[in-house]
Amino acid sequence: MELVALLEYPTPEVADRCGLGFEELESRYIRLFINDLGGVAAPPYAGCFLKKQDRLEFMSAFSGFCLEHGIAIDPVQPPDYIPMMMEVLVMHLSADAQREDLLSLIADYYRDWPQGFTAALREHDDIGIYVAVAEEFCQILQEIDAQHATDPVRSH
Amino acid sequence: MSITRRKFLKGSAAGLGCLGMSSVAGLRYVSKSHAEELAAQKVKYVASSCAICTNKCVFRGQVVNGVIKRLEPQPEFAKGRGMMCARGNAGAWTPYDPNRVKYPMIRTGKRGEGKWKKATWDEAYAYIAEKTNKVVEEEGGHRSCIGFASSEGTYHEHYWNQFRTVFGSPNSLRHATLCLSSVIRGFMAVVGTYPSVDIKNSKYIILAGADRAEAFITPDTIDMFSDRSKKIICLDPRFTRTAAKATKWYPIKPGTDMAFALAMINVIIGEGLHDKAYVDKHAYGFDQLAQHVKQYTPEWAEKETDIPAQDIREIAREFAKTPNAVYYPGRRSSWQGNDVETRRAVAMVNVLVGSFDREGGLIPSVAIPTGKYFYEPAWYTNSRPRLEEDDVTFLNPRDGSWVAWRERALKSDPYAIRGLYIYKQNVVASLPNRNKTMELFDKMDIIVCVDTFMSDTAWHADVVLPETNYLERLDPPNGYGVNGIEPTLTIRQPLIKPMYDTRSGFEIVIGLAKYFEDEDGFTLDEYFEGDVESHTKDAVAEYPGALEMMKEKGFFTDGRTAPVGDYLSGKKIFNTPTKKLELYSDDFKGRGFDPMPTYKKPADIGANKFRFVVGRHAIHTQSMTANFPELNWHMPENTVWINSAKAKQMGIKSGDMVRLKNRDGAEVQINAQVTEGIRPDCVYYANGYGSLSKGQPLVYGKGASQAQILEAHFEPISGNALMHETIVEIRKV
Amino acid sequence: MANNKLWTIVFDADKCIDCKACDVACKRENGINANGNQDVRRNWINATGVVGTYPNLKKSFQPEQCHQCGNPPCVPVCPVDATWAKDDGVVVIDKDVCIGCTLCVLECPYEARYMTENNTADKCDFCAHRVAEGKEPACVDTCPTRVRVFGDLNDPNSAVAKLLKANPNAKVLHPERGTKPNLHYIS
Repeated sequence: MELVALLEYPTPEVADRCGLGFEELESRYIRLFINDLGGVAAPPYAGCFLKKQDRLEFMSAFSGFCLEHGIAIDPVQPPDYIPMMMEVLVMHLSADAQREDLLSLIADYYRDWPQGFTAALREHDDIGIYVAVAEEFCQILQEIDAQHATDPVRSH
Repeated sequence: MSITRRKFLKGSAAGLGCLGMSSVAGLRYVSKSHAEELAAQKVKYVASSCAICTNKCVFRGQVVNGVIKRLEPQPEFAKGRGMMCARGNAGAWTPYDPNRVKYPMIRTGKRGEGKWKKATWDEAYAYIAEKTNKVVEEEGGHRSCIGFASSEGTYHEHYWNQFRTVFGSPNSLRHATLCLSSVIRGFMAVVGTYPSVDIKNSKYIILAGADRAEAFITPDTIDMFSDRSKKIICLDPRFTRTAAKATKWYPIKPGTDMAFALAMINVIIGEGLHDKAYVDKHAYGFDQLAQHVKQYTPEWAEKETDIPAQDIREIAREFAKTPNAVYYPGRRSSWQGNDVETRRAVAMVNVLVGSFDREGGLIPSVAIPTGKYFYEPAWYTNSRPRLEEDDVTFLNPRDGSWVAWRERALKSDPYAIRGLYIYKQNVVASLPNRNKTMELFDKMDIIVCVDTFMSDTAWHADVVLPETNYLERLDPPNGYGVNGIEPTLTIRQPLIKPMYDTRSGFEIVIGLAKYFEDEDGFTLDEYFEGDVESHTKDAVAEYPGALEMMKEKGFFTDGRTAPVGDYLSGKKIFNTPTKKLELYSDDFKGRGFDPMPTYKKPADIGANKFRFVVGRHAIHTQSMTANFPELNWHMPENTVWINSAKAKQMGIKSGDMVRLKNRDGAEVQINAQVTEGIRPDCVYYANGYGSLSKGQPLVYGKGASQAQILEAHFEPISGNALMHETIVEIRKV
Repeated sequence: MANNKLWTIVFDADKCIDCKACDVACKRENGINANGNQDVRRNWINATGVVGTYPNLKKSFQPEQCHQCGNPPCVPVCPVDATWAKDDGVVVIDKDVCIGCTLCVLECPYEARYMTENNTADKCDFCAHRVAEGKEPACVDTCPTRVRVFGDLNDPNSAVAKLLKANPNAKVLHPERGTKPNLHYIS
């Protein structure tokens, strides 16, 4: 949740907390995520970091998953918009979903790309905020995996 | 400065609470869906039309779970003959391009540096208006100091043009004079129109340039190559895919097409092979032409064109004797020197064999008239005439002449241009002599670019305004000029909802118009009425069922086709001064031009020099598509074609890096592709590469830009650019 | 056997203008992301390149894809039975079973197979999901010049059967390998 807010377009409050001028933070945000120097250095779309899947297919599948599970995603962003995908995960977590569902959600839609996204940020984010966010997200995914994997009630 | 993860996020958990983000209810993008959403979305089809090239073929768009999957052919759409080309298929990616322009952006660094800040639409408009009003005032209050560049293809360009008109600038620049204004003028001078071609029924086709296997014009491309019984003579300095499919290819020397056409006329008239009844009844000036072409023998033409005299003779004979023969008019005619006159000669060849207004020949186009979208023009006392009005005889006031206009703007002659408003035109990558374009940009106080991609032009603008993608938008019905034989109206409808903070051309213009006033103090949005939905309805109100048909199938046709023979029967009158097909033009004579096409030999290019020629590929549309991943896969980089024998002389092998330098001193660096398939005195490479914009990562700095190597010239009759008047030296790097 | 379909494509390659529509349509239809990798494709054009000396030149284009062989050499080499021919002639791959050994890719005389980034083998399957709905493969319906004609060769009234009857000199590629391919070329 908090991560989502941080990945959103920066506000002065957020900049304050990072100890940066608002414009500085803003221009870095744009550089990394919107349009800028180096093109879009780290496009905030999961599909762009997938080597093994076609991005349009991935978006369609993820969108289908959301529809099947009663989750409406905002059409103003492509379905693989990373903050939005994070929110879907949050919603699933907080909705007390079945463990198998959660694990298969992660397996199907949250593999590979978080690492690629983080790597792109490591290369281009010179102030470290966004890298921190991405690394935290990878960490969270690992923790969920670990938590559910060691649960003795696991079944296939 | 770096911030450790722990430190930062520890502090944030508490702090963010105050941003109201700590509860699930505060999700921004995700919520519980309603039953309707669940039911609707699995697979749906939406009929719409393509925007990747000028053909605008209709497709059936397959959308799965709200994501575009594939744009399938629409088998009922006659003009497209039920197909979808590589580019049309690749268009499905475009709304999802990560580098797509998503929000209004205002430049913060230097032009071309790529530093932007995101703006709201109002902030962007206010910025534009402030800068514009300032320079208008500095120029004495006349708004002619703002140039408007735009391209056709979306109905919304009409709104852009309306805005320009009520804003008060006559300086409108469109693509016609980088393309086909000379062939239009040439054909109009002879047959009174720029006709369609009945390829379906043609049996013998002469294609000069007009690389239809690569530069698709539907349905001509399809009809030409699906029926292998057609005889095709291909004249082209390059061995293109059209040449490969033609019956015979001749590597004609560039700039000598008129010699070929005149020699054909010499044989046809000389041997009495012309359609005498047709010519007697419908043509004017035959006797003068007959006398005039006596000098243009095939033997003479061989020396000019490098095509053997006997071949010219045999082609002329067979062409005249075969019913349903046509010398294809072509489309992009921005070649060399005498383009208009060359096309006149081509038109005359057609007239002599009676191919105009006949099956298998040139057919005057018809259209399905749509309800006119009428608007009041605004009156401005200070308005000046367009900059280049004295430079071109047949200047189209809406198209202008880009090269001539730019020259004037660079000299501020007769007045200064202080700003550029650009809609859907990649000026930086399309105009010859890119250095001059950048010089022009440097003189501008304000550059506004409306685009969907981060093109080279958007990259160098001050304000970029994102239009919705063609797959997200409603475009009112458009008719076709490209094939007027089976006229159709097509529409575009959204396959997905518009993403990000983008707006349609109409919405952009209305918003901007609010920030400007006319002389009576009314804001310019007052001149606009209705909306895109109402315009769509009104356009076809007179055709019952048309709207429904377009929504269901993407197109409307009422079965009408271009009549054949109405002019020959006298039912309609030829649209020429003499009301006949003109083989001799008093009008041209009166204006100081040759009354009949008169050959002028192209200048010798010099030893060890090469003429750069422009051409197309079936996977690319000008400068738009090289960054599309699926198309780029077929050509990751462009390479310069050099004739094998020449390359051997120069010690150049395929893959070697070479430098090309033109007569202005502009240089490019590019890898060589040694081939038998080009004249020894010519070179060529594809358009769309060597991008300056980092928003086109697949082609940024890759290969070479065509705009950079082309020299800028134009011809004064129609104002068309001359793109094949570029002479280069080559050096191995 | 008479009730089984035999899906076949007949090519009039003389009409092919090498426009690449078939490749892009295939990738969209089948959700294939080549990611710049030139091996990733289910169909391709064999182009002779420019043949001859200037100005007497020729060049021809021949579309190709998996031949859905009647005697497919790729099937027996698979160590885990991940690939087989269905009753309708189409050779399919179960990518969940495939272990990525690449033997089938190497065995194919037509080089029709390739390895995906997931390290599984892939190839054309005549858009089986479309055929199941009574539609044509994407490469067939998108083609501007109608190079490909698709149909059931076991049906004597099908377009493909009629074409082959009218063109007895139609050829297949690499007949000497005994693969019994189901792509036929009338030009």
